[in-house]
Amino acid sequence: MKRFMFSKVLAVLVMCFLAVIWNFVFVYGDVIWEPRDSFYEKERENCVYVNRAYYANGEKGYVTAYKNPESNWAVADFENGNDVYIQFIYKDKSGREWGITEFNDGSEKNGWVLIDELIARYDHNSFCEDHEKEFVDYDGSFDPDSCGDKIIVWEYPGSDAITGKLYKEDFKEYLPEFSYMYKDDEGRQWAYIGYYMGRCGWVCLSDPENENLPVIKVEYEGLIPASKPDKSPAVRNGLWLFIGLAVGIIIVSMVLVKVFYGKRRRKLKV
Amino acid sequence: MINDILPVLGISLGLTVFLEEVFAIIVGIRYSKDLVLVLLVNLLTNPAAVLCYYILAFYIEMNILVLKIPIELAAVIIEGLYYRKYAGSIKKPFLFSVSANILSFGTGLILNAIF
Repeated sequence: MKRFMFSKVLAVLVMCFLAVIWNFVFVYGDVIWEPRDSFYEKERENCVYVNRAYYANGEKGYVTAYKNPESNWAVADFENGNDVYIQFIYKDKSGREWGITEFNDGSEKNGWVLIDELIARYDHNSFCEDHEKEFVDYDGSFDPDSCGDKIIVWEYPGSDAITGKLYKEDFKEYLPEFSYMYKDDEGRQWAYIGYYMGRCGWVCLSDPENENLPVIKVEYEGLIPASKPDKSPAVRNGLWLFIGLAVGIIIVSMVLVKVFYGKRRRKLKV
Repeated sequence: MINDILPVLGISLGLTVFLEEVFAIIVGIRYSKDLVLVLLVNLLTNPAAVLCYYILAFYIEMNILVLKIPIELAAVIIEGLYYRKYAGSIKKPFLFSVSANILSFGTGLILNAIF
């Protein structure tokens, strides 16, 4: 009987150990990283993948990330101007869009922020929205033999962000496939790669190796100055009430143990 | 906010007490005062552990599991000390405390993974 009970307890403990190990396994999408968030997992079908960078731009000078779109539990605050990376967007029943973001502080915490309180950072998507009508089909003009060993890939024409580099030795396997082209105001010819060996972005066909191409400064409208919240998220969530309740329970328990068990010593051995 | 705090405290405490009481019965503890002691000791440690984790999670930027483990270790030690001092029929108080806490901690992780 004891051996049977022991094996049952052992089985449960093994399951618990596996549960601990499971917490180190957090990537279960094929290619797209998915957040470990219970609300996201419940509403996965209603979430749209965006993977985009934003700036916090809340009316109060900061943006609050909540546990989920249906909760008032504040997880963190972002002062205006800070980067917020949104992986997926969910639209709630009232039509408001919420984005899920993971905090880049090693904690693996997630939070949901209102998209209305963010400003999209000017990126490839923004560039396409502004210049799509000027795009033309790729004309096949890229000549790998006329390039040096390294070609710079930019986020968009005029960006200061380099998304990757193409190396001449990679072309021996297969050449990059450009989707469309664009000519900037200074006459430089650009072409876009959707995907090539893990890299995507724009190549300046007129000057492919130059890492110091002119940058076009982006002006954002409607920026709200940053300010710190009066109270931390923990306090806004009712931290003092939490502390009061916990301390009360602890004190009552200690008193009860002292009263009913006193200086009792172990007398019974089963 | 109250609607968020009370379930956090209540579910954690309720589940922990239930699991540890069941564990105590499974391992053969039948003395009623010791079963009540398991309840009281968990009332002592569980709200404090949840509170510590809650505060640390807000103010320290670390992996969640890394925060939980030292808190659980402290709870195990405190519970073990109480069992050693006050329990009548728990022969190995620290082993009991470690096993019971692994069970409740692991079950919590499983439930979090499922739900």
